[in-house]
Amino acid sequence: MDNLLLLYQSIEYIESHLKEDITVKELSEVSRFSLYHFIRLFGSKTLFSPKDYMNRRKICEATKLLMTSEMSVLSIALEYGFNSPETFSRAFKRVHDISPMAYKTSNQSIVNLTEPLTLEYLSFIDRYGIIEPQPVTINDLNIYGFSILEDTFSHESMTRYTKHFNNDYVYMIQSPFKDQVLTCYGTEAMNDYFEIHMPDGKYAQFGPVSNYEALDHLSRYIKEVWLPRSGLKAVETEKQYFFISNEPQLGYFILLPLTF
Amino acid sequence: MEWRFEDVDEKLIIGMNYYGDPFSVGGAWSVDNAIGKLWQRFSAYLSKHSDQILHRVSLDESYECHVMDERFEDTGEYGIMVGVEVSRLNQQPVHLVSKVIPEKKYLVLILRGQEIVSDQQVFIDKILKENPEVSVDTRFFFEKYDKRFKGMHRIDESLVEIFIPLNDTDSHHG
Repeated sequence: MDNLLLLYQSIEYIESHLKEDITVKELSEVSRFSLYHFIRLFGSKTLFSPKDYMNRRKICEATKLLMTSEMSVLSIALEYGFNSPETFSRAFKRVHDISPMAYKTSNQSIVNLTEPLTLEYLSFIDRYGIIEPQPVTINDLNIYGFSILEDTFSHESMTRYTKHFNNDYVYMIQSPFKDQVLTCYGTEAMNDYFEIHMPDGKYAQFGPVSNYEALDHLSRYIKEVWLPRSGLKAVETEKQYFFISNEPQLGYFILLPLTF
Repeated sequence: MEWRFEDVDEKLIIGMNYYGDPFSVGGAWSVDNAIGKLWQRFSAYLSKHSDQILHRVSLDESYECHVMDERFEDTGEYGIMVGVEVSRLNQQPVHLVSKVIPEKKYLVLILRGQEIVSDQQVFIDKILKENPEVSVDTRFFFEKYDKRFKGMHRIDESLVEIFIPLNDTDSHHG
């Protein structure tokens, strides 16, 4: 079995023991690596340390519970194996930069959550490693196109709608809208469809990646790995700007507006 | 993979250290992780102030020491020190820390190319199986780097020696 599959067994183990206090040693045994090698391998293949990933997964699920249930912070902390509300609060603040109580009362939407790593995402990281963006500046860019409201974003619809454009590049802008995803497709060329304005400023351009699935993984990488590590903040954490070439050989990009 | 048992005299190392999970800020075997950054920090110091390190034993050799305590199994955090060997610790720069590597018998793994980034425990287990009279102390080991190590970008041409201490009760073997 290759290293990635062995490592993935530890990811699955974390998911099935999320509410327990498990050690890194246990994870190494599940993956059948020595502890020392496991720590090195986990870091290189997931870009998280094992302990940090476990904490982020716990905080992710605890955050969902905090926002969707009437459970107290204490109950949620204990539910996910934190020894005290203070420990939970510190871990929560490290991830969300706000305390659990303040988060609950702030009506903020849930962002910056670490969902379980998938084997496909791990393969993506294995292939691309640490991805550094190119800084680009955008001045007064208007995109003309149309928008589609869907329950979830699908690659099929993206393929279908981007075919409407004959230009070299198609922009795709996604925003959450109630429980649905609003996706706007457009180009710089004028036509009869409605207009989207991309804010002026500095953007980080990620890519190219070779297909739509990789674009999904790249989006996750940016949110979960690159942004926290860079110390930069996205101007709008919920909106994503995709810059997609219609020429398959040029690949797909993501443009992220940043405050520097 | 070659290996040997070797009696190593006490070594005095001075350099810089780090405690934590070195891979929480960058993947393993990457210059961006905490170990890579520790080496960068120490190399920058050496390039500017090497004359301040007195009694240096070798200009070609440097060391990376790994020390695991009780937290290691729980959190994956441990101590790392990178440095060079000196014959005396007095009058050394205040910016550096020191470590005394104990005199004892070590199992020395000579790792080449991809062996350097593999699970070395596999090699250790195989050697211990062939030599059931010895056991290793897993709480500490050090790596010796010299001109035969060409850098992570030329790993296939590189060689590293890893020194794993034998438990004291086994020191009469070899």
